[in-house]
Amino acid sequence: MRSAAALLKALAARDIRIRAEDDRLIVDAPKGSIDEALGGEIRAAKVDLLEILREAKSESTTAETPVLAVGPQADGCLSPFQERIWMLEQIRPESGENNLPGAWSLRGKLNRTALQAALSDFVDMHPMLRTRFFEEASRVTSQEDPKLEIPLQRIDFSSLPEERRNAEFQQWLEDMARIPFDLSSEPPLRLYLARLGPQEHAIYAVSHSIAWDGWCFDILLQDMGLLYRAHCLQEETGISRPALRYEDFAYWQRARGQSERAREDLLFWQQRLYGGLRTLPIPTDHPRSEQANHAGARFNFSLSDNLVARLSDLARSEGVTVYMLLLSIWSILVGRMANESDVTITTPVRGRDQSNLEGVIGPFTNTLFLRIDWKPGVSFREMIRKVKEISLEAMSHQACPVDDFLRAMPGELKDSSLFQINFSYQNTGDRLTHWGELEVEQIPQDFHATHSELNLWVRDAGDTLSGAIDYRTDLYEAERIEKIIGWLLQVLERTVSAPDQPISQHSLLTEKERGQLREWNHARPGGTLDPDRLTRALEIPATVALESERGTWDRGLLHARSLEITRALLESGVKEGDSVAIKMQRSPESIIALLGVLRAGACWAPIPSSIPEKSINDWIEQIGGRALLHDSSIADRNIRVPSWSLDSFTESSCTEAFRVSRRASSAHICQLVGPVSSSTQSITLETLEVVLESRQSAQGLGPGDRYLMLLCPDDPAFAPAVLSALASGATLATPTENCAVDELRLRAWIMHLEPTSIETGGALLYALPGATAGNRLDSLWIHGDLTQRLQIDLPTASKGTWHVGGSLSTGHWGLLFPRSENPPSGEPLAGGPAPSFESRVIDSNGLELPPGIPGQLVLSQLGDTLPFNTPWRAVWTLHGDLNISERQDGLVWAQGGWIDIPRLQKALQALSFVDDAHLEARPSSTGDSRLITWVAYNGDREPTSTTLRNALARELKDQSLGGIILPVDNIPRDKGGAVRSRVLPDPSKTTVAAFEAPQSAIEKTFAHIWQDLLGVDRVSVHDSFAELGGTSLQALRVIQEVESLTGWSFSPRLLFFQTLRQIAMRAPREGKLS
Amino acid sequence: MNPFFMGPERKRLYGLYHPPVLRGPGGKGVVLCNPLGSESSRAHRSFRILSDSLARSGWHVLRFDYRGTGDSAGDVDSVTLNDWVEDIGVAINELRAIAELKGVHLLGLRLGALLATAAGLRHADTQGLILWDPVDLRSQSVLGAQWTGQLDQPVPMDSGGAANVRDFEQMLLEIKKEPRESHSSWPHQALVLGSKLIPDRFRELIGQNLRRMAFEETDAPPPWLEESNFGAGPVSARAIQTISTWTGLAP
Repeated sequence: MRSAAALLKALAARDIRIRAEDDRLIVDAPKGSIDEALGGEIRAAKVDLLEILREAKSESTTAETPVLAVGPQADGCLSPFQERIWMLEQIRPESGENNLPGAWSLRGKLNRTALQAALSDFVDMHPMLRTRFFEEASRVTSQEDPKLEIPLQRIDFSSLPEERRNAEFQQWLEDMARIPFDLSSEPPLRLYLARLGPQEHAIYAVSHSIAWDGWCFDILLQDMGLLYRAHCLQEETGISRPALRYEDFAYWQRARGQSERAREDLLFWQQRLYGGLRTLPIPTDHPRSEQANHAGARFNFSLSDNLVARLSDLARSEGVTVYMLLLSIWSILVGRMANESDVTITTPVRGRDQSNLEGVIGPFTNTLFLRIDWKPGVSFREMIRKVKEISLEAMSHQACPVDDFLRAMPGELKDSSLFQINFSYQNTGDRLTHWGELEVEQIPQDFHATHSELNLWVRDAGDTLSGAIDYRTDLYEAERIEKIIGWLLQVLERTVSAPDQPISQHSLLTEKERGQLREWNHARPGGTLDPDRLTRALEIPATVALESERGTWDRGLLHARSLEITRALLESGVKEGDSVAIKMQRSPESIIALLGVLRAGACWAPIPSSIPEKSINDWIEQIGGRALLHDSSIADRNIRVPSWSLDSFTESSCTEAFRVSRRASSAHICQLVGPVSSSTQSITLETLEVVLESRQSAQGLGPGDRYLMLLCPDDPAFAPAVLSALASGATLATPTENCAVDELRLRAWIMHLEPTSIETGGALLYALPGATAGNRLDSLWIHGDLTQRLQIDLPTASKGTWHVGGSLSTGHWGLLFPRSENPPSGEPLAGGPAPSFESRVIDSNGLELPPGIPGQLVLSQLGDTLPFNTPWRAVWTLHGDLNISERQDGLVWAQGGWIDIPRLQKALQALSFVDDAHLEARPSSTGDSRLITWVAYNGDREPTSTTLRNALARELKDQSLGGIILPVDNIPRDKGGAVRSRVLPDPSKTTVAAFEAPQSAIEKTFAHIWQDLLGVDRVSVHDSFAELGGTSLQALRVIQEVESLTGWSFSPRLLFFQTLRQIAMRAPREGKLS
Repeated sequence: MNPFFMGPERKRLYGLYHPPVLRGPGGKGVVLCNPLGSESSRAHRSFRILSDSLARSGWHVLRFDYRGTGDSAGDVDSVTLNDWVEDIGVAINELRAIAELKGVHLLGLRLGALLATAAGLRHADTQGLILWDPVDLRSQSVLGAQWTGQLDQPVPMDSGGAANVRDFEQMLLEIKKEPRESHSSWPHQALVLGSKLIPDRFRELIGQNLRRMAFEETDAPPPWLEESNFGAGPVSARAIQTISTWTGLAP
């Protein structure tokens, strides 16, 4: 029987988690991972396990041993952190990404001799600054080299013209910061003195993080200040050499690693961070790639005095530090951006909590991983209390080097960006501001190599707070960072003002953004009203033809027949602005009627089809109709206004010159009755103009296009649709309603016509997909209620970019595919705001979201108070485009179409040969979403992908299973049945070559270690550690394990640049391996 | 890389899918058509590296084993060349389903080039052909050539003669058939690596039948054979470069 500790380790290796709850042991294990024997073992060791867990949970009682000077036995000893930095340096020696720069301006008269003397003293006091790092027997070590000197390099900018000086100086700072160090031959610190003017200098320190951390700058500033002052005054310096070396600390840290206390720490971090290290889906400007680039930039900001005062007040009244308060705010913002309420933020700690380490130069900094989660509805006050608790608890385990506990949880590192979000806080209130008579001030730099995606960095100088966000430039653009800072200040302002309000009620939206969104929403094509526009719209181009199954009308015929209607209406006394009621089905005549009515300057007032014949008179009276145009669908009896059946018009000669007889100048050119509300609405000339123009630009019809119009005359979109089509010169095809009642006839018509564009109302929604199958369309505009659209599958042949748009009446929404054959990948839907609609993106609490953060799309008609919650997820780009990415009802955009994942999943699981299945649309490394199906089959033989696709196609008929199909042994689920999708293999993440099993013993050893560490199923001899996702931390572990198993020690470079087989070929002959 | 089986159960084919690893030209895929016999194993490394390289430039790549070869089902004695052309069709469909593509390119090496041409003519969703060092159709020992990589060697019958001459003639007839002019999605382009070795007859066949194709040739076939067991064979960076460039330019 193994010990409880060994058992715990074994359980962790199998991804089985246990925790103590009172006297109960709660086990969280992947399906099938606990067999009978293991279960028995857990039960038997229950008491011991509980004991260990409780110990880890409660604050440790073991006292921390002090760091002591240990003498020569510590020589050459490196801390785990230094080893990792060395490793990173070996992997990318040219990057300079481990350099730490810091610059201060020195104002006043500079005593150069004193400065030089102070520098010599400073270097003399700190052996770390004379240390070289090198590899010896494949192990990195260090040695103090008394010969190493740090020269003060000088540069003069004072002769440059003033306007260029600062820019050149900043550029120089940046250039110097990027020069890599050769740690084996030069000191890990470079110092520069720049002359900017007679009374102005800058001291610039660039150091390497193997020997330096952020607090070393404080030591430098402090010590150099005192030394400089003493040398100026020719006094004794009074500073003594620190009693300890960094090596003593490294030695102590290694020894501590074996202690009970360290074991407790390790357990604490493992428990605390389980499941908390995954990458947060914060929207970026560029996709995240496997190969991180650490080039960074910095965006500075400062807080108003008033805000700082209120912040300090709140902190004081709650008994928390400003640090904790800012950390809470940063967590809230990060959570908002990622749409999560469980975030992990890293924060550096000084690591010098023993007082004798205070003045020692070296990389003591450790990183704490603060996992902060909150419940919906929590107030800011409650949030900061929780953050306090979390921070204090983490601090009590801070002595455990981050490298140690991360190495102990390889499975967690797989999908993690590790130091993704960081928070650094510097209290500089008691910082030296003078070196003798020189005034010293830190120079802000706008560049920074950053290991975090986003690092919020705040400097607290007592009564002022300033800071910056450092960001990775391969992911973010400065524009977005500026926004993030805006949101940060916004959250700060709102939460501090109303700490008792739930944090979910504080909107991120700034006033500026609110204005911007309003502007984008109200942006309209075109400008002022052009009175001749309608006239021009009615000037039908010569190319126009109207086609129906009854024949073809050319322009002349359209013109002549519509004039007859105009003439008849005017003769019967219809005046400009009067309403003419229409009771017609869709037919060529209805289009001619529209032209006739508008030319008479009258209002087009279609009677809704829902109005029964007996109520027609009432309806006409209600809208003040002066005439009725109808077709044979009503029996023209007892109509109280002049009425014509369109059959009574006859073809007349077309000799009359084409012109609009009377210009329509009425403010209301058509009256429409919305199908949802019963109130009468009208389209004014002005809105018609807007509609025509926006349709024109969105639909892009032109001569040569065949436009199939399936709207009925009582549809509010009928008039704009007909007019814009006629004005474009396209062939307008409109089958009569009788023709289009069923799918078969419609299909025949579509086959005959081969339309390039279709516009239809909701009634034909269901027939359309079948009818257009196999037909290529440039655009498709469907009117109707979006909720209806949830049940239909749009024609798969049309894969354009979709715009949400609509016709001009409440309850009418449209989807438009304009001419775009290949939407840019990852952006299935893009476009400006829908004409005449206001688009808003909201979060789950109903708060409007600023540009850059995705949420639910809500549409409302301009001026309408009732918003329509669409099922789409959308995001405003920073430039006013509205990108719509996925549907919230389970439909996601992947494989170039909308996919109903729940439905596919259900159908898959119902298949007789499928044991379990899971589908996901995952972002691939190419940036677009790919559908991946993991399937566990029952039976011995794995069916082919074709079998699965066909079986599903038979089951679902209208939806097929595209994408990658990955057979797996089982779908890992937690106790509640939820899929642990993080554990599922992701084919797009491995770029593995053809599989070839490891042959030799050393190959097998490597493969075994990699499999274990990287959590991959199998490792081929052609795989490389880096391509499998190995990190530098894991690399250290591989090197250690290989060494302990075989005695062979090798360079990390080998691991990162060679395949398994190539590495194995470098190994000593097998006989020599122990 | 994702290994899997595709096709009807009794004719299951072993396939390897390489997803694109970089934002590429957008929605492009290529099916690699193996040569046969020893050529197949000696070209394995070239194909693997080519696949990775194409995937890195944004292509969806599918490699597979023909029926009766490699890890695919079937007895090599009972399959015909025509079966293999069918297999390419299965691979085309599978890659289209995986990557949601309108059409794919076919890349064939040696006899694979001939099979790819035949498949390309049958499948309207073939957008382009890449023919690498195609076999010489004039040679009486053409099948021998594809076994050994040398044109003057006879077919070693004991290595499981997969294709018979009748099949071969059948396939030539197939290639000779005029394509329907109205077919809009005919392969539009072909890249031939190694024009010096392309016999006139083959060129004539391609030229005649694929009139609408842009037709590019390179000077000499870049090497593809792997001579060493240690993976140190002369995998042609030039071929990979040429193919990558050409495919990068192809629409």
